[in-house]
Amino acid sequence: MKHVYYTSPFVPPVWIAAHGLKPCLMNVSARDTGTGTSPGECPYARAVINQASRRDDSLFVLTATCDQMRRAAEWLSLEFEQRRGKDEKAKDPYDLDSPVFLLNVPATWHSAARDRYRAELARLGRFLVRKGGRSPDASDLRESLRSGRLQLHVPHTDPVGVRTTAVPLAVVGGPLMEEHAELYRVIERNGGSVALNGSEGCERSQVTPGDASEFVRDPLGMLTALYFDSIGDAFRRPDSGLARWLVPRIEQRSIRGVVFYAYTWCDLWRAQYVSLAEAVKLPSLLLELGGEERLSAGTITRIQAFMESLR
Amino acid sequence: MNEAPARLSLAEWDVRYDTLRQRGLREAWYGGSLSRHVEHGDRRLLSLRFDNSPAALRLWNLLLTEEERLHAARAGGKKIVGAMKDLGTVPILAYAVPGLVAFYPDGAWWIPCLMEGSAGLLAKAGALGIDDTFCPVRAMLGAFETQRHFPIPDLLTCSVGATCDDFSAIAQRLEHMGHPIHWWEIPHRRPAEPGEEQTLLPTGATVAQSEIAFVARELERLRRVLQDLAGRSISLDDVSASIRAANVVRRLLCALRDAVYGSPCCPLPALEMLIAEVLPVHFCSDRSETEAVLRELLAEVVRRVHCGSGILPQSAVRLFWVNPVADLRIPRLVEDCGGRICGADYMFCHAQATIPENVPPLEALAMAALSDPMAGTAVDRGRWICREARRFGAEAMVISRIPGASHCATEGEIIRRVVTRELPHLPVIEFEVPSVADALLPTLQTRVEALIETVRLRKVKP
Ligand code: SF4
Ligand code: SF4
Repeated sequence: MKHVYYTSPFVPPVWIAAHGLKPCLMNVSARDTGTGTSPGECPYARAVINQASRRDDSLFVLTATCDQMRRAAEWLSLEFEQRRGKDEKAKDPYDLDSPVFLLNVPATWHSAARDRYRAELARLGRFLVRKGGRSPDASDLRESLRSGRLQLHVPHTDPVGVRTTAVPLAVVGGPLMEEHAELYRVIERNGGSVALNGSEGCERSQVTPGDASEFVRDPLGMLTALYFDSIGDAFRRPDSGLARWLVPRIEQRSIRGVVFYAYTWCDLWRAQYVSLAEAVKLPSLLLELGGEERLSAGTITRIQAFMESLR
Repeated sequence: MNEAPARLSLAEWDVRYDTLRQRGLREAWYGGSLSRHVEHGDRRLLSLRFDNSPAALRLWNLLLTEEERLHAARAGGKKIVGAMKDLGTVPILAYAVPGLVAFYPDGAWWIPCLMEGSAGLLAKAGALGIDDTFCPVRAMLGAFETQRHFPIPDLLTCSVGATCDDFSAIAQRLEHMGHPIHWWEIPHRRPAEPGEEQTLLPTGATVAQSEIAFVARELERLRRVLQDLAGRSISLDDVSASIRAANVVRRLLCALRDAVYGSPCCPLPALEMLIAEVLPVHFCSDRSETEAVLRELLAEVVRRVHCGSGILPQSAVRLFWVNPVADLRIPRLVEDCGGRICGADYMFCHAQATIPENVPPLEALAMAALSDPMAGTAVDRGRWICREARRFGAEAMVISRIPGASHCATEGEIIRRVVTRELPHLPVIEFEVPSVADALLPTLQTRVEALIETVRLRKVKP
């Protein structure tokens, strides 16, 4: 079964599975940033390019949710073309042979944008069929829903567990490379407990399973409602969905501080820090993460100091 | 008044201005000596060189009086539209009716350079959480905060989707600061897939027709918002007329580019060309004046080409320039090093291409919006650059990176890749130019000199 790799919570794995292909969440590692990034390049996007370009016989669904990832998809597509000895002069990056699909997730929320997300999922379906998948029938849809492939879940971002004696914190940010999940452990080692997890692939981007018969009747309608209508993210305009998700949960869970993180050159998440910190009105810390394989000593010290100030 | 073309310092221009006045120079109402702008804070002018023609004087005065003219428009009862990011589309809708004036707050990009940082806009942006990991357009946040530059618009629009993350993030911050924004979407431009209809765009790229339909609907939403602001309807005929008027400006600019970049004698300095190239984006807040300025510049250039007189020796090495430079001293540096800019992609080439007049107007505007190099692939952009570089006989290329810009890292490399394939003998260099490049000027100069030397050596030893 062909593997289809993806990274974004806006790519419904259930839709890939319904086409008879295997959805695989890319486990992005700092080791994949390789020899480093060019000036201005997001290390996460670079790691995605490097990891994906090693997987020759797979498909990739990346999203145009940020400029860096959109261009990473183009880069990757060109890499594959070059490897196949194609003449770039005559080619578009996303020609029919490309194993890379760029899903255009609209930034705006209005109804035409919603229709567009739905149309993009249909276009993804056609790509999957062209690449060897099958057009899903009712039983494919039912089966893929039953197999629980609705969620994007990044296992390495699971907190150790909520301890009642610890200071309840929220962690908020975009994607997180495997090694950088160490920040959860550092928080926990220093008397904190991640009681609200706003990293990509965690609570913030989880969707609630819908009704199977509804899915069979209108799969794209249900996926649009589950993903497009409900996931707040830094790239959405307006970005009010993020605060709508964060602020009530902060109150419900008696959160006492928020740790934000953003990769170097990630404008979208970096800019969120100030706005969200204003919205939650709690002590906040912004961590800048690079492409290193360990959290830097400076980052660890900053977490320790922050925890100390909260205890 | 037909003196030989030359580049003058500000002080030299003052002398020339007096002479021209004595000889009966007729100016537009916003005219005057250039040095008066230094008193208003544009200190960078002291270190620039200016073309000596009255046409160039008018161009500079149009540019440097924009804030003043916007304040006057507001005082005269006009509503101000702050269009952000799309570069060239929203103003055409706004100028479809008389009561609206549109400009791009994005233009604050150049304020730190023009005022040599004295306005403190970048520091203000930093204090608002937008530090130097973002592109210099963050100066715009500072300008909104200080309210000492352009008037705060009555309506702000911002295109998102396939745009840079810098602008999207900065505009969102602006909205959180209490400036509501009408967001509209320009999606990533993709070609048609099997079974879909495909359309050729004015810049030569192709796009699936469904994308045009989507953007046309977005523009329809914008039309309604602008109607509400103007307090009157904006009919499709109004939009068509506005497109035709914009096309007059665009054609003039294209004629100017062809005449300047195509001529062996370099009839106009690169700095004046950079400013002229930006005019069609929003007509510097005055469409008819923009048209007049371009006509005058074109007439001057045609005259100079006819006489074979330029501002540089014909041996100047022909460089194609990619991306705008935030420090306005760079074009002069290139010329002083023995180069000349003979073609450029300053990221608003889509605002220079003629908008189709034979399709429904909102569809035509959607095609113009989707032609934005930002919306397409870097390969598309690279191909456009190669076509232009070939057309104007470029002998080398400079890709100037914009500090902090989310698109520059990967895009620059892809463009280079395309150029290396399509124009294998063209030397290409890439460097970053900050808003105030003082510390880097010697290095930049060395790199440009080395590039020019390479081209010269190749000419000697083919
Ligand atoms: S970390 Fe930020 S810049 Fe990097 S891919 Fe994700 S959203 Fe884009
Ligand atoms: S220069 Fe680049 S990063 Fe800056 S606003 Fe323009 S497109 Fe965006």
